[in-house]
Amino acid sequence: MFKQTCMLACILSLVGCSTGRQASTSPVSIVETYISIAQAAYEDSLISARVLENAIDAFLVEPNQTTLSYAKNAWLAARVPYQQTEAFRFGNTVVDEWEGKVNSWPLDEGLIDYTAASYGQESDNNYFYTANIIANDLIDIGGISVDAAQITPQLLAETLHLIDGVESNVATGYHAIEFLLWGQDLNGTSPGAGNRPATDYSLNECSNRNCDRRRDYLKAVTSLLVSDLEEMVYNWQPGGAAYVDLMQKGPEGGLATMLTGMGSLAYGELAGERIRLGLLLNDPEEEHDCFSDNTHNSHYYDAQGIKNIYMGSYERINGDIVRGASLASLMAQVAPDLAAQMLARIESTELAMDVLVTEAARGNTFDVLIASNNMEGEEVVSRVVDSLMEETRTIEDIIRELNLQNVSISGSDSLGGL
Amino acid sequence: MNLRLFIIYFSCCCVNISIAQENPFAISEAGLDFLTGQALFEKNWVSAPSSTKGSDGLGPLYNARSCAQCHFEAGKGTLTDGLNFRINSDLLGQQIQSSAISGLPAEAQVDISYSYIAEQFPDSTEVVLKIPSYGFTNVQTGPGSSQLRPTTIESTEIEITEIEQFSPRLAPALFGVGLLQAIPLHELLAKEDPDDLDNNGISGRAGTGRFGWKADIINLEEQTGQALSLDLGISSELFPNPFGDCTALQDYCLSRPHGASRQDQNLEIGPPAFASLLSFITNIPLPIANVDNINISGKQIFEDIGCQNCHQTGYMQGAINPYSDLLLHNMGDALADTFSDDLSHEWRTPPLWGLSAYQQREEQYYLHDGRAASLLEAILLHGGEAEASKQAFKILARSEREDLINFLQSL
Repeated sequence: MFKQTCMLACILSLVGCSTGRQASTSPVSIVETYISIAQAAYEDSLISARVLENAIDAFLVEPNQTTLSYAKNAWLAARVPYQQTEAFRFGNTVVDEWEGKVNSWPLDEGLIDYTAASYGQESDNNYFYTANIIANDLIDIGGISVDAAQITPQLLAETLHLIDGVESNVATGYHAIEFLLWGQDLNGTSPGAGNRPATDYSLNECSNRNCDRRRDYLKAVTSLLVSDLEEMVYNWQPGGAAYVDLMQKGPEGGLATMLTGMGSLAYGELAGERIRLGLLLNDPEEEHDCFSDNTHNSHYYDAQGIKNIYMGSYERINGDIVRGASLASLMAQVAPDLAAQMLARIESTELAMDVLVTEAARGNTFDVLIASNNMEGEEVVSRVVDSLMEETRTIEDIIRELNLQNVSISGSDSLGGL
Repeated sequence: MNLRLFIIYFSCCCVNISIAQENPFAISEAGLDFLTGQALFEKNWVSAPSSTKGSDGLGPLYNARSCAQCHFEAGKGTLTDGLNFRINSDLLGQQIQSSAISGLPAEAQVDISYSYIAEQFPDSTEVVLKIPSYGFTNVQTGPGSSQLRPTTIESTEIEITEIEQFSPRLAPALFGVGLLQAIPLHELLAKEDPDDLDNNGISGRAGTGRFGWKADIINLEEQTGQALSLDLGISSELFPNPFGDCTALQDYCLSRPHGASRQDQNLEIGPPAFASLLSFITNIPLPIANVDNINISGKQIFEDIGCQNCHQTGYMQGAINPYSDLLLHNMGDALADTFSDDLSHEWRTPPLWGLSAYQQREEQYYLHDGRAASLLEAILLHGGEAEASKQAFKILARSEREDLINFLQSL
């Protein structure tokens, strides 16, 4: 542990060096900025996950509503830098292949813990599921029998996560922790998030049974998140897998990767899967952070992450700014009109996301907005989809303008259609 | 790499299943519709009740959690993901579901054993053909109650010790299915020859539809609805029973909660989401065939030895070339299923377009039950109406055989 902490401190000081550079517009320096932002954002994710781990440790020492709320706040804070890394996922295979361990969603919470028998009916004694990990030493999943007597990070990561080849068998990552802190959101399309009692983790006044195993699970899954993030921090250091991959693509390939990530997150992932699909299903839980009702922030910081990469600037969780050569300054030189258009698109997405956040503050969280027959909500959400779509069109124009090859915006054939 | 050929679509948040398919639409509403349909295609449904409310409703009995589990990259299934067994049982329903939601027994597990036949070509090349025989283990033997685990379910009224009548079906490829649907019916009927009036030994006849191994599904809407119901246990407008293939005798199954919700018009997948899924399936493109590298000699042999008689092309003035007549043909005793009906020997000609998609895969599965591990094996396992063509194939020179296989691999 000491060794890791020391290494982290060294890394932090390295990143510190790259702040405050003068903007230049060579592809090499633009890709350098991109890497600096990746390093800083994954480190911030790691740092905030460690803060979360500490808060969870404190909660488990003395489980009450106050310590639980501290742990929840730490989780919410941890999402801020992590969501800003999501634009690094697409185009970087190393990230995309790893990502399922930390951010898989939606999850079948019955795999992990008790679930309510039906919506709107809370009962301490009425469990529908008995086949969940926390309640069972031995569990059957899809016909596979698993010895779960000891809940360890290894058991979760190597055996249970995605067991049976099933994506919703999510045993690890942010959303598993989110479920363990908040519990199911039983409010449907009405305001309100999950409301798990702190006593679910109490050894003296245990609610909903198996508190000892629930504590073990929460500890194991949190320590796993920390170690997974450590892995990704190292992947972005010189010599690390993600770093090497990117270097091998060359400067132009690096620009293509940046734009691939921006466009794929904006269009296929965010506008498509995470937002429009929810609108289509009118599904109160088709929201990314569904237990905590934090989806508005999750989307907001995704968009921020796209902006960071384009602008070559990232504000760290301690307030430091990582800044350097950017696509924005390159575009301002080679195609001022297009550069101005892209800034306008980014602003328009930001405004649309702002409305999402404002609505959430008024109680109209994402799950409320996408309810069927909520016309105003649909308008707010559609505006986000439309602005992300427009932003992606402009990203495609930039790719054409720069004449970049090997760019594939997930879900779009527009470039190939040329 | 040409972008049109290969756009990897990164599936939501998760790692394993992605479809190498391009979205035929530009960035637009229609594009998003296709995209969300693709997300639904890859979506893992979960059991009810779950807080992922729009995603629940899996099962109670099921074979797969998602469409993509068996139609990997929109292609065909494998023996582990995508070989289903149709049955006709008062107790177990229309299909064996080999998985079930937590706490519920699956209906049976399939046990495949093989015998082998060696075939020899005149040039003394030998090919070993696998002949599968199917057994079923842990077969549910009777009505039980919801508390009982599979091992303790007691046989009461009905006992099934062996499943004797069954029809294995490998999940078919979905490439170009929208194009198949677009072929005018009269063009298909024109190729019928149920009484073999042209005396070529081939008596194609139309089924009740053009999709499915028994040509009994009319269109993609019905096909998609049926697959959701039988394979995933998801109810939709055409197949509204939320319990899927649970029968009246499976009380332990019918007592489980289901995912039908009011907002989805009491369906587990509501009409707008179903329409989006259908938009994706209908627009799944073909893998782009390597037209520069087509084996001309192989193509000629394909026609000369009569493969083309069933694996037909040239619909809509040559615009649609699936290499199938979408008709039923008697394929001989060795391939017949064990249903005691007049369709047991009949199989719909599978389209051959898209074969190029599998050529890089380590394991390949051909024919209705995936028993053939290569195109060569698949040809040699043809029988019935295809017997004469197979015999013609067997006396080809080695290089001619290779040309033919090359041609098929390029489709």
